[in-house]
Amino acid sequence: MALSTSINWQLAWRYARFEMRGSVARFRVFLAALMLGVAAIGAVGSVADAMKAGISGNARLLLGGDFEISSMHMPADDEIIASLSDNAIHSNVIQMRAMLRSDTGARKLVEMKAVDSLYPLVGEAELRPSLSVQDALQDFGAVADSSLLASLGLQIGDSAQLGDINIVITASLEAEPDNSISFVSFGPRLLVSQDTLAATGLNQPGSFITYRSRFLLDDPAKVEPTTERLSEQLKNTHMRLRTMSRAAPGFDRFITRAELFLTLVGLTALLIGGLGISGGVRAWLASRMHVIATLKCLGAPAKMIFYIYMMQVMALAMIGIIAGLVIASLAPMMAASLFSQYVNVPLAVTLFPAPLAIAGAFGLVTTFVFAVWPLSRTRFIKAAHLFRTMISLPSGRPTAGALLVVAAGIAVLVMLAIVATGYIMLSIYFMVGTALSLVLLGALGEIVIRGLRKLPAPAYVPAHLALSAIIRPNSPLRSIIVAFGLGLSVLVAVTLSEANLSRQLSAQAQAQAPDWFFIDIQPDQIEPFSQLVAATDDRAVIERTPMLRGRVTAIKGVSTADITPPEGSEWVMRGDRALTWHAAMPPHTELVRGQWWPEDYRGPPLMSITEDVFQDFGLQIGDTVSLNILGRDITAKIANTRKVEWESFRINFVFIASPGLLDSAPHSWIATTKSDSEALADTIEAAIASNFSNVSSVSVKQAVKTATDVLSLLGGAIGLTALVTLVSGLAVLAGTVATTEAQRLSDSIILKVLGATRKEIMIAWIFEYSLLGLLTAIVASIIGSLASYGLIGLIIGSPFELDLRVVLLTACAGATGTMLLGLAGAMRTLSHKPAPHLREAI
Amino acid sequence: MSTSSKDTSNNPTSPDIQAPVIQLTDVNLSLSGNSGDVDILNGLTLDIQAQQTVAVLGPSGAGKTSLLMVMAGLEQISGGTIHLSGNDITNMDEDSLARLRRDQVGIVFQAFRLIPSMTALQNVAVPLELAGTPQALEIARKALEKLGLGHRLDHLPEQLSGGEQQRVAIARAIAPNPLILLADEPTGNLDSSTGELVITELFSAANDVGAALILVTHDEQLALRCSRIIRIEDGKIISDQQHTPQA
Repeated sequence: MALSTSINWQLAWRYARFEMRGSVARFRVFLAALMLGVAAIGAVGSVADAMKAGISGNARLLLGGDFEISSMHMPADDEIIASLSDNAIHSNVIQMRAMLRSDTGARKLVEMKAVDSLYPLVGEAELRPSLSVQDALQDFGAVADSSLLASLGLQIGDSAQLGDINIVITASLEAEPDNSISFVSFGPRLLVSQDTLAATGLNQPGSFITYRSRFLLDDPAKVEPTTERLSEQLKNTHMRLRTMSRAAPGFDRFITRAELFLTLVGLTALLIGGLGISGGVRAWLASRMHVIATLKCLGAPAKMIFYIYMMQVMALAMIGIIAGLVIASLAPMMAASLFSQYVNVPLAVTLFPAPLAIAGAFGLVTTFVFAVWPLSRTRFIKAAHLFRTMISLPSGRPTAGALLVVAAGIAVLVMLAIVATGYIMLSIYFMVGTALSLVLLGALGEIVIRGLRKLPAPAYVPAHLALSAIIRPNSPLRSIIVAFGLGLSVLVAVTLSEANLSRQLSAQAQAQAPDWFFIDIQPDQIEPFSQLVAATDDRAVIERTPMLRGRVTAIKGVSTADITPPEGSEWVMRGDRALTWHAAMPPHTELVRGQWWPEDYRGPPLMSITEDVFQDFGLQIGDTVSLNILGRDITAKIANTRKVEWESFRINFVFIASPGLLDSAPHSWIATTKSDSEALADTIEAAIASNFSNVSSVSVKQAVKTATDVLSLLGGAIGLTALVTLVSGLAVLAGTVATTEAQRLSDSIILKVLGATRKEIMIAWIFEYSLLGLLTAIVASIIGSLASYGLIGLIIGSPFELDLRVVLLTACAGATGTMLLGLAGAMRTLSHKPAPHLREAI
Repeated sequence: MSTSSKDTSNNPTSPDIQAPVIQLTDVNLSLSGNSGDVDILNGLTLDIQAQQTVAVLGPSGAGKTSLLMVMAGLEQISGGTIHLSGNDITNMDEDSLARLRRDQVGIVFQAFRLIPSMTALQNVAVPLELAGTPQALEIARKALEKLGLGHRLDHLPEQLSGGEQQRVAIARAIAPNPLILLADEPTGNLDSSTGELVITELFSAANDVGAALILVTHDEQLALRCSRIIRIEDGKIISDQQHTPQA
């Protein structure tokens, strides 16, 4: 007997194919959930790879050469440049912020780039009209971003004031080969020659100027050894080396983090969709119980039944997975046009097999894991069921083998998550966290059901029926709370957090924040500057402080090259940090530890640092911190720590040095002004712009708007990801509706026989699904509000305000959505006539 | 049928020609319900010989269908023993029972129980294919042709009339040449003329393969076509009569 001990796989596959006839439509929501999850994971991976490949493929272009040496305040050392010049073409670029003023008096902060005659070393700048960069920039000519021309009302040929001179706009800048990839910029680009920059008088000691020296070597083979040597040479100096592997350093980090976050969101969607898969498979099996019982009656062993339906589910899953992969493979193309609105990142539009393979594997394993459980219950379907009415899949504990298979599947999912994200612990935390969240939501559902069971039965019959449907065994409430709870909770948390942060930013801006920031004030300008402010508005509050930039080179005597920065404080060691010095403790300072130095202190250098950085790096009062400032290494002892409220928009610094240490270093001043009215504030800015052409002004109101815009964009993006999980929740809802369809049909037929009209039954279902949605939304609102409080109140440490409008809106939307979708699924059963079903049952 | 001689090569144990094909000894069946255990069969003892035609009569709830289910090894009894073609199936596991049914028991249901996703031919071939029988589809085709369904081989159940569906079910039950053919109200879902035709074919098919036919019915007239009539009430045999079958 061929089947006595082993499974005839060929036969099982044949029967699986027979059973697939007409079943695709029954699985459409299951397939949609799978497609969505796979598409999300595959698309994120593909777009990230497309960006990385685009950046890597355009690294030389983005960098403007084979490598770059950059420095703040002062150019790179001549000896370093000279040592490289024999084998390389070398081009200098100087970048700084400046104010451009039109003849009509309109002003705009610009990102100015002063280039030499070799610019660009790599690629071409596109100008309109079509000119060479050198031709466009000669004789104080300037090339401006078209948005700059539009905002100042400038035309080609118009002149505008830049520092001490008037420049002439000769062309608009259509494409800049070495433009940095970033979502945020302080202003539009203005391209001038270095001769023009020298004539503007803006290039002052202490001004925020970045010097970039780009090199193009005569032999590509020399790039690696040269950069390796330079990397050692430039360690702990004021100069920084950027190579082609870091062509877009900030953006690289952004891609990695966004990919990580979005992959985990996609995985969450897939896991929630998995619950839908489980529900869909359960419903399908419930509808095939007579077939399963017949096959068993005809001699098919339980294992064969399991394999027949597992093959069927996996084959159907392949349809959803392939559809998801097709969408994912097209994602880089779609992303190219989508991202172009926000950031100019090169994308390599091609097929990326690795992320697609990972996404496909996620889809397959998730389907398998979530299908095994209901499939293992087919063993409880007996051939004897052929003689009895069968409505729902019999319940029972899965076998140890099934549990083992599920555990192995989960282990594979964790491994895939590790491969996809590259983070072992994070992936494990994520999977455990997701599982705990789902269990917690399920437990909350159970608590709600138990609570409802204690309620007295409503007198109104449809309400009574609705309540009975929710509290009966196999209640759909648990599934729906689990399915929608996670997505709705995230949505509530994000909306509440965004509302709180935006409100606080606006409130802070109105209450405490200054009106204007003025930067690049030269030391000899600070007194006239202050006098002009006072003369323009004698009630104006002015805060001013000297400032320069330095690079942290050592902490507690350990070189930063040998320190792994703590999570969240990497930025302290990453670039140049602004610092200042004060004899007296600045106003509004809140000391946390240590003592402020005496005003006449002239001893060894001391440093005041912010409490959060102090804690993150595990420092003690008395520890040392070393900075390289203008090529000079300075080491100071930490004397105290301060609590800083960055969101106050006041002048704040991580590092404040004791007096005497930096006084004589070339520096500039930064100042803020605050007036009683917007008109007075703008008058001050206009007066400063007229009298100090080198001083740049930044509107705090504009900065707050930018910050709230970024928050809104971020909130919107996270909200969208929450929507992805909510869409997956639809699969669970559909699965739940499908699972309870037979029961619902049976209920409706009995109700009809007993005299209930279709309208009354429908009202009962409207009650039922509204109540389900409302209960889910209430649970989600509580969890989301707690999460938002945790983020705003505990982690960020800001006052938290529960915005009931947001919570109520979410609750209503959740209730309405669940009601409409659930009802849409359930309505089909209303149209069934009782007679045929009753005949079958008798 | 394709063959009229009994092929017992697939049987776990070849039955003694004189031994009963079904032997129930003091069989009890209790099922758990909301109001506690309900006794369905009470101390039933019964032997059925090969090729016998047996009608099981009784009022609703008497235990007729339950008797059929325990004979097919579909229901786990609470007490007593059951031997099916010499094999003690009392404590047999589900897969072994499935194999035994596949090889030795054919069942015809009131509600036909065809697999809706398979054609008539594929439905009939299922038990043969599960048994690894070579030429399963060919044997199935011959079984269907014999029942006058040669023109309906590739039709899905939903494309067949009730009578045709029941004839497909009969073909499926007899195609593996079972020793026992169990039929539960086989005409219950059919009109009287179609039912008559189906019954004739059922008796003829059982005779062709030499199977014992056990027929559960409410219909006294139908019972008269059997060689033995067993009446049960409250799970007990109240009469067991040999009878000369009417044509």
